[in-house]
Amino acid sequence: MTDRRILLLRTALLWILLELLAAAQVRSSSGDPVLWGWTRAAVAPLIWAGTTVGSSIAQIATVVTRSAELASLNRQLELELEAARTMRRIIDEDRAAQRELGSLIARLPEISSTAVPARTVFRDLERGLMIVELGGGRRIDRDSPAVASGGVVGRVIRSEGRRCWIELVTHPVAAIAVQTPDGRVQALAVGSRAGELELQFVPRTAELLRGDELVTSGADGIYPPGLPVGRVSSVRESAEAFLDIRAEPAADLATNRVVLLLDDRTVAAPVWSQTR
Amino acid sequence: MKTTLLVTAALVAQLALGLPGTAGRLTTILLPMVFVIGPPLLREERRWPHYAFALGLAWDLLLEPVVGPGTIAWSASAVAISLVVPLVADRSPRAWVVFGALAAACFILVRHLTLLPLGLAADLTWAYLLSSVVLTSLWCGLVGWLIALDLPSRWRSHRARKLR
Repeated sequence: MTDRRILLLRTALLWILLELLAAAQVRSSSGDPVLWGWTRAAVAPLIWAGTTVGSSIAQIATVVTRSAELASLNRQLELELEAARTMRRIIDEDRAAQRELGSLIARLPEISSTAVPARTVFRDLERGLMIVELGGGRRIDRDSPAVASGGVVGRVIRSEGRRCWIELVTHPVAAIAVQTPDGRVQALAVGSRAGELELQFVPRTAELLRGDELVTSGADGIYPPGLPVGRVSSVRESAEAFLDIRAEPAADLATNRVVLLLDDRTVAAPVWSQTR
Repeated sequence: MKTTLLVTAALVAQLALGLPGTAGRLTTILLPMVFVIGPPLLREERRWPHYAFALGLAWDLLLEPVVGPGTIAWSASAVAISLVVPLVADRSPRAWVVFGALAAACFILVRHLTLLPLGLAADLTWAYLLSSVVLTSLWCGLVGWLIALDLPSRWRSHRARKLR
């Protein structure tokens, strides 16, 4: 920067100071120094801007706070709605369970007076296990059969309080003595990990076709005779002396909500009603 | 010291004539203007624009209602002249007239502009501006002519001739 420019800058700065000095000496019509009016005029936009920005920030903060409150309220309402939906599902399940129980009792009119209804609370099809909960405080004996609306579900293997553990018919170690409804073919139905039943000891000469119904024969001493167990799904001949037969469980083990525990097995049950 | 006395005399004379803008035609003349255009035309030191501030302060104290506008106006005239004078080689009385007119116009305009925001500015008329510029330039031209005559040396020559 040349000396001349420096001189001009200093001079201009001095002029500004002198003008401010003059403004401090002169009084306006209101009696205040003109400099005070200039200062107010210069500061007013800053004050206005500060006030506006502050007001805007306050409004934004209010909006943010309100939004947070609304978000919290919305979340609470969502939770309440979800709880209401869950409650509705439970109620629907209860109604469906009641319908299913009604249907089940209608199929077993003779034993329904002695059977104990129980609600399914847990099931593990791969392990072949189901847990049911009784309505009352009645104790259920071990090996009591459990039937659903479709047919045999399994047998009680443990009972504690209101809960009973049921070994499903598809459990690998479960075995049920079955026969065709006319009694021409008898076999032992054992569970498999595939969720199917394997019929063992069915001779090659047996007249058994795909779709044939299987019911309990009562030979095992656990299940009363005449309860539906399953339906033949495949019949194959093998190199062994017996046929390789598989069957699907009659009861829908994956969806049943209610079971009847046949505590009094003295009542015969060839009275299984086919009404649906 | 001699310059200070001359400036004081010019300010006292200006005070006697009256503040520029008041009644009377001679009040439009700016007597101290010769001390603004004189130094650059006479190739004096370059710090003379700073002295214009001192001249302006004295002007404000004696002739203006507030301190500031006169100082700004006189220093602005000095700065304007300092920018223009190096561009011209002429240092004759005619240059004194022209630069005096230029400095006077600059002074009047800047003074009016500085008084305007303070609410103290009087109406600036073309007649006043023209009168002030003309009278001040003539005054500067007269001073420049007297300096060009170099009266002391002439007087010494005349005394020398008479003594012979």
